[in-house]
Amino acid sequence: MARGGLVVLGCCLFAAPAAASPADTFGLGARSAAMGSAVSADVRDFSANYYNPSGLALARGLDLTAGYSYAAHSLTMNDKDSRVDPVRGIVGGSVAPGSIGFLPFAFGIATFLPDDRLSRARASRQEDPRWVLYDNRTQLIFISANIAIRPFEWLSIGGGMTYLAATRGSFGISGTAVLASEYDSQLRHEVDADLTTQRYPEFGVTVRPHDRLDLAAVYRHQAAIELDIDAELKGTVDASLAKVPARYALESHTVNAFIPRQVVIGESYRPVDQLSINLDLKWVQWSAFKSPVSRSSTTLEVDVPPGLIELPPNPKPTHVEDPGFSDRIVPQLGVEYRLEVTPDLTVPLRAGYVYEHTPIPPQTGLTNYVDTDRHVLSVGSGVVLRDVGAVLPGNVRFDTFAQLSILPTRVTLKESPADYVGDYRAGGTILNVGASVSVGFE
Amino acid sequence: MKVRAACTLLSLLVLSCGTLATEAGDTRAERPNALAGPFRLLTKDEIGVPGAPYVLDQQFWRFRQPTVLVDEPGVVLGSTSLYAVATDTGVSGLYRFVAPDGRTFSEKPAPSAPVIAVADADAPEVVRVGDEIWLFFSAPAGIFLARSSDGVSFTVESAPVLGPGGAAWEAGKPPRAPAHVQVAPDDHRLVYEVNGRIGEARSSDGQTWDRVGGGPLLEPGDAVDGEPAFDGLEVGDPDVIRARSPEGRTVTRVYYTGRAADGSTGIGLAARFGDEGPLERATAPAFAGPRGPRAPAVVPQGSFTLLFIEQQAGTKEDWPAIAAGIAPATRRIPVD
Repeated sequence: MARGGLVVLGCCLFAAPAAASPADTFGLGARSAAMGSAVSADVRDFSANYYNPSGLALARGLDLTAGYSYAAHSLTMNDKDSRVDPVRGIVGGSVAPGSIGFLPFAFGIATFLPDDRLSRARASRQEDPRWVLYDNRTQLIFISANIAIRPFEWLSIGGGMTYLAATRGSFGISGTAVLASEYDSQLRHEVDADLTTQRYPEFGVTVRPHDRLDLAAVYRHQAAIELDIDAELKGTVDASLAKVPARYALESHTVNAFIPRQVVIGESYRPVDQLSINLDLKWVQWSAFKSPVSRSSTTLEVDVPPGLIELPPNPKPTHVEDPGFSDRIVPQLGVEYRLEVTPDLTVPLRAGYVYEHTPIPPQTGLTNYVDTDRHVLSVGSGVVLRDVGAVLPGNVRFDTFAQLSILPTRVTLKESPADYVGDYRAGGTILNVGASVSVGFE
Repeated sequence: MKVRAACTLLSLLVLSCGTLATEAGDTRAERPNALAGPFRLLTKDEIGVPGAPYVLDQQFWRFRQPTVLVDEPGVVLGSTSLYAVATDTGVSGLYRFVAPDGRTFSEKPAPSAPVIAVADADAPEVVRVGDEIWLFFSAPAGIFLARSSDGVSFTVESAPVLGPGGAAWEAGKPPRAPAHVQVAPDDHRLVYEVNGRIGEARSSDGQTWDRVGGGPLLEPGDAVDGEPAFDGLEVGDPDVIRARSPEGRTVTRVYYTGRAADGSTGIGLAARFGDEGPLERATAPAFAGPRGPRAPAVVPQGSFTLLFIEQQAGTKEDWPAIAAGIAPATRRIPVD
């Protein structure tokens, strides 16, 4: 069994880079989101699958969670609503601890299942202003599965994979189109589309040098959702007097969503039993950002007599500008105070703060990747019930959170007076709320 | 029992949150746009007469060189006058046409006689200056000015307001295709074409003009990445407007006809911040098409901009006609 776990970890090392996740933007789970996602050294529920897989090994027993979250964007450009879609869906997962011989072992799974769409593909021109970090990137299904071991009381190690989906497809139309009578046309359609699984690895380690201090380090690999479409129309246009062979071909490649490589170091300090003070620092490699601009080429071949009709020239292949994003370090602060009302009832009070400096340089040139700095303020609370019955010798937890992201206005002044987009200002807020219920068996 | 009821209730709430997917919202959002282009041609449901994108198209009238005056400043798609060169019974003149909705022009000129009957009058430019309407136009001797109080009856100055001369780059040729903009009550600018380039002149009263600088305001474009520019041979037919960016910066935009070495043409845009200095080209033409677009006339309409151009009436119809376009290209203005 231990050998099996090592095989899984080994596979993670050689997994192809791919995929993306809404958890990066809004967090995963009510408790973690309420604490500003500063939980890498203080997580042992299902959300450890995202924040730090090694936390799974710290679970005291089987733990199940189900919940719902809803993030509403109020983002504007030039004071006009950008109408960025909300991100809403079911969040949940489980942790199943056990042991392999004397080695504590745990398996976990977590998911965010959007109830509006499982994935969203949108390719636009690089000149078109868009909230590139919020429109496609968060509209994805997220599934993560991890294992963890605890070889020593002070050390736990975990890792696993996150799964997402990408689209590859082609379609073709061939045959003869009779202009005089569409009923005599014979066209053959072919569609070949694949929703392929993509995956990326993550690893984490937690160290407990002192009873009141935990330290953690986490690595998440880079991810990119790609969209490839090939199309071909090939056949003959029958115009009675002449039969004109025609061919139209389209090849399009788009990076639909991109999640950068991340390294997180964190601590959780408990000055008293009821209080946890957490700080995470997250390095995010945005400099590797892949442009979401579609790279497409088209070819139109029609043998028509000169002067009969006007054919547009084949457009030139897209020249994609380097986005020029830069890396950033994100500080995340979270606190939790566990108010013990009775021996069987605890009310946790949580708060958090995150500052994200925008990785996107001033958009003074051709491109218009819109973004601003982001301040995330979060609060949350809940109820922990223990000894609720003989069937459940553990606890039941209800957790809620509210998270307000403030994006201060950023003014873009174009260098060129002949820019077709011109000057603009962008900013806004994002309100994210959610709740979950968890059942822990101890 | 209470816990069981609470769990059941929460589970039902979670399950009930699943809803049908909705169309992505941001595809319909209004995005920042300088309203400067690129333009697309109007379609048949956007012009009240057949023949879109053409607003004036008659083989024997040969409508060309449009310039446009909004009759009711501040009214979007209100009554609009279009002045153009047209040929009636073999004689050319400058005629006035009226559209009550800003783009559906009657092909019967109002008045029926030309407003400027000067022989060889060409490339008009109409502007409102105070209580008057000024109509600049080209003639072999240079650029002339006519004035009117109603836009119908004009009094033509006897001498050109800008004749041949200037620096060596003008090669002693007469300037043509004037475009006027008033920067301040006593600061007028005239942008004109001469010798395949565009120059600029300044005046305090609109009658006495001094050329600005020792070189052209805009020259033919250089090749980019080995590709010849669409305006690599000549630039001309300028039209100039002043705009203000959402951040309050004044932008002077010059639209022009660009001609390539192979004879093809397109509508270019060059601009500058403020009212002084050289122009900077846009990264792409403001309008391009296979029928030889030229002689742009641009009309800001609040949240969009209309473009009127001269181009060939059709693939086989080899006479000039006047077509209309709009920016942003995503904006639609269906006829009521």
